[in-house]
Amino acid sequence: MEEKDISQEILDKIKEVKPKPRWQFLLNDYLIWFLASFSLIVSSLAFAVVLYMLVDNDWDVYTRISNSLLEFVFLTFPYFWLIFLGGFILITYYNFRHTKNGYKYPLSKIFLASFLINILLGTFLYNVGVGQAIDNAVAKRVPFYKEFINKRKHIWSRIDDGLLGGVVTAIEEEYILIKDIEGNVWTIKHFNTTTPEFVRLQLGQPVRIIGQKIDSQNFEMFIMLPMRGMHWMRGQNFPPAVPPPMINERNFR
Amino acid sequence: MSIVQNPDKLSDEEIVRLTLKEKDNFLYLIKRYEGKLSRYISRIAGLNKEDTEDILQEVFIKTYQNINSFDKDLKFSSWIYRITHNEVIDNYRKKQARPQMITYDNELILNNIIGDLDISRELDRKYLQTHISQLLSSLDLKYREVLVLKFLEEKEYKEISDILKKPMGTVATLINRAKKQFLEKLKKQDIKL
Repeated sequence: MEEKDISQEILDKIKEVKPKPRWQFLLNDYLIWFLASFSLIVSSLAFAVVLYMLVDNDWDVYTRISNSLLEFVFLTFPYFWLIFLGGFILITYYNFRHTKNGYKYPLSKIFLASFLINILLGTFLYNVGVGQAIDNAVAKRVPFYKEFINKRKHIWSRIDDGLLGGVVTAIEEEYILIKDIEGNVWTIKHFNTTTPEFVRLQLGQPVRIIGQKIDSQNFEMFIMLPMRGMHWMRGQNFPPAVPPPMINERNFR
Repeated sequence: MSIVQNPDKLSDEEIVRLTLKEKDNFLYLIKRYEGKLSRYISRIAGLNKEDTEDILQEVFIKTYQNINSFDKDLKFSSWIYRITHNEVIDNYRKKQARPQMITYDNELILNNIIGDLDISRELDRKYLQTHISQLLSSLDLKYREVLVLKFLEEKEYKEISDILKKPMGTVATLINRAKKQFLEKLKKQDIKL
């Protein structure tokens, strides 16, 4: 008898409520799928940047930059983008887990699947230049990016250590002018240097120069290589293509 | 008023469909599940009758409110048990209290759990016959719940997975850990004998 009362009591209460419309649940499902897909795409973009920063690194001259390979890796590892990637993998997992059937899949399978998609989609995005474009865009817009995140700027600003990165702003018969990352202009002589055959000097080209600082405006070049990565250096405003007045050929001998 | 002539012959899913046309038909689902769910709530939460009824009412109201989200790939019983599980967990978190001593149907537990746990010592069996409710009540909620679902509600792994929204492998692990904790507590009690 009492059970009947409870049933009736529940039914009476239910008469005051309406079922939520179906579209609300569908919208919720679509929203969760959208967020899961969105975070998967963002993590793939992060993977493309990681790949770009790893591949387009100074592996060819790491012995000139640091004392060991380990130190070089430690110095140039894309920590920020890896943390970003990891964060979005977690967000992807969280969203996927909250889809209608997401609970059926174990954590390891979801992580593995999303990481595999990151590798495939991220590699594709890297190959079409998206990794580079993101690094470029962020470096141009976010002030601290070049200071703390893509630290290669620091490496090629170590002028006292003989590492000079910059953009070719003038090419003359006896010298070239380089505008470095900080905006200073350096005069560099052409002759007595080793420039690999594949280096075709042209205006606006970002280059890496290994050599020796002579004074505040002159730099002796031992080897010049095209810049890897740091494409944000392209398209900077060039200073006038005239050498500073104190340039003297003896400086370079 | 209800439009169903012979509700006992209808499946839960058919009654859900009919409820969407006429809400009075929900009464058949209430009648079908109030006893089962009431027992389930008592078994996992160990609440008094009043609190159990409050949760039960809330479960049926939420079931009705969300009836349009019922996934037809799921068994209705799994779905309503899931809503009950969520409601119990919410209540448990709000009150932050361990359940009182829960009284179980000792015969049912003895038949279902003990055979599975491979308890051979006569001393343990005798002890269990009188103290099994106390032992189960002392388990962590997550372990007590899987044991209740598996051995008292007699649900399949797939159903437990759907109710708790956990992968089947995790359900198996939880059941194994629950058995382990159950045996550990039994051993501790045994020493005190």
